[in-house]
Amino acid sequence: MADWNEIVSAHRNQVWGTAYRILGNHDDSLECCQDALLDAYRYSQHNSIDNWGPLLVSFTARRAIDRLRQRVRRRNSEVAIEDVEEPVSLSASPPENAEATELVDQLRRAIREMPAKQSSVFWLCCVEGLSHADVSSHLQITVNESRVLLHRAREYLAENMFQLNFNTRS
Amino acid sequence: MTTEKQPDPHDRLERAIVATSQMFVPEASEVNDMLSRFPVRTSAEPVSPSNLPPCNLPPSNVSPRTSLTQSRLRSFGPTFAKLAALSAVVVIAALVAINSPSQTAMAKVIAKVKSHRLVRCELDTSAKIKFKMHADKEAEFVDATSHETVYFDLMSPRFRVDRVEQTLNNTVDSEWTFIQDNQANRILVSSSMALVVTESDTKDFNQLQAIAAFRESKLGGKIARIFRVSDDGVKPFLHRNSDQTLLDMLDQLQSQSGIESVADEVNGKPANKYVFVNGDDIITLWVDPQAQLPVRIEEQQRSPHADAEFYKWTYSDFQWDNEDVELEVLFSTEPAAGYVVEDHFNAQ
Repeated sequence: MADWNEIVSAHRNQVWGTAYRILGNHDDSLECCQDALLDAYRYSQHNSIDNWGPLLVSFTARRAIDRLRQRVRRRNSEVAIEDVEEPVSLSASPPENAEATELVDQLRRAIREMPAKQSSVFWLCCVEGLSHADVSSHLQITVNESRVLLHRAREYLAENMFQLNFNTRS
Repeated sequence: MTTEKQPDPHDRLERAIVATSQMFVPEASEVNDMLSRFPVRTSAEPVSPSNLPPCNLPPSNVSPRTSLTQSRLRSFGPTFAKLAALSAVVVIAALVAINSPSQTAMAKVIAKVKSHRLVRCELDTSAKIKFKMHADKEAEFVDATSHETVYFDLMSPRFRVDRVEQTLNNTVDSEWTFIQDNQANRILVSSSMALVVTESDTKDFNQLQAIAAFRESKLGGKIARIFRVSDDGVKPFLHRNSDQTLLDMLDQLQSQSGIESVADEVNGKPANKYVFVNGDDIITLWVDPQAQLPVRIEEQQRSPHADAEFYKWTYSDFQWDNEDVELEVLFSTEPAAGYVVEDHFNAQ
């Protein structure tokens, strides 16, 4: 039986970072991590795990993106205090911080509008730095599909990030 | 006229990726918080056999298992199956024990008991048993309970124990029956277990874990196992501590002096109470003074072995000849239709 204390101790910063970067607040991130760990537990019941890191990051990213989408749906009617993102940077200068915050915010807005699989592939490859082999394995797609999805995601984001930003602020 | 240069969208995307990758992330939550929905590592709750599927195999037939939950099955299953069976001896012993010549007041009780053919009662078993709660920790003593319905043939050395429950965090419907017929030298253990919750319908992680354990244990389905009475130590009318025969036990009880009836109550009704002490065994009997029939029997056994602090069996809700059943059917050791039969009787 897997020692989950040991597994989570070894990977909690990685998992937490993934959730927090996508969701931007503590409570959502914690719930997301809990969900992702339960997903990983279920998965481990039927699969042998050689490398826990990519697996946990993949499950966390998927859960976080799902949660991000739910948040959008909720926001259509209300804005809850827990949905307000925390500052992106506490150390950068105000202009740098403002730009970073804006970029991160734009990226979040864009990925929640994208098809789920594209979002996941993009996030895992570009932000988390996972290989196509790891991504394809944990998203149950082929390596080629992973490459195609990433290409489409990049095109979508490049085309829509600014536009989405413009629309939401108009 | 000048035209404002639009930022390269790909460049903007790359900067967004960098900003996101390098963004400030506060300290991660504690491992305990992240695993707060993981009973695997936080299961401090006492493990009750009522939350476990009954295991119908004698200890010698239990195959080695490794996982935590399976070790529960191994630890508790045979123990409680055996306890339920062995505890039947207590009732018979207690019923006959009151025939002690020195307890002339009980003669009427014995006569009354003998005027009946069948008694049904509820059996609650509790124990403090050493149990390995965590795969990576030492075994510890935990409280355990179990509930069965027991039938005794008062004219023939045979009895039946039924247990019907939802077990494993309410994911499994379980029906377990143990019938022992000493004259036929035969034991039938029937087990019917089926999942009633699927993985997609689980309401919490405990259920999910229970389902996984159940599937892994391969205890599902309908199985009937037949054994000889003399196997695995489940010998009726033998005292489990000393292997004394029932008559030996009676001799000991009869030889005790100072056993007197004390006025007491059971469920708010007056009852005569008798206490028999036999070493670490204490048997307490309550008798309805009007009906002259037992209404409650308790036996407590202290330190029966190194892995148990005590066992306690409580028989209550006695129903005398109230069953509209054929005794030969009730105590039949023939497997019912639809069960896969394991015949250990002829294999022994």
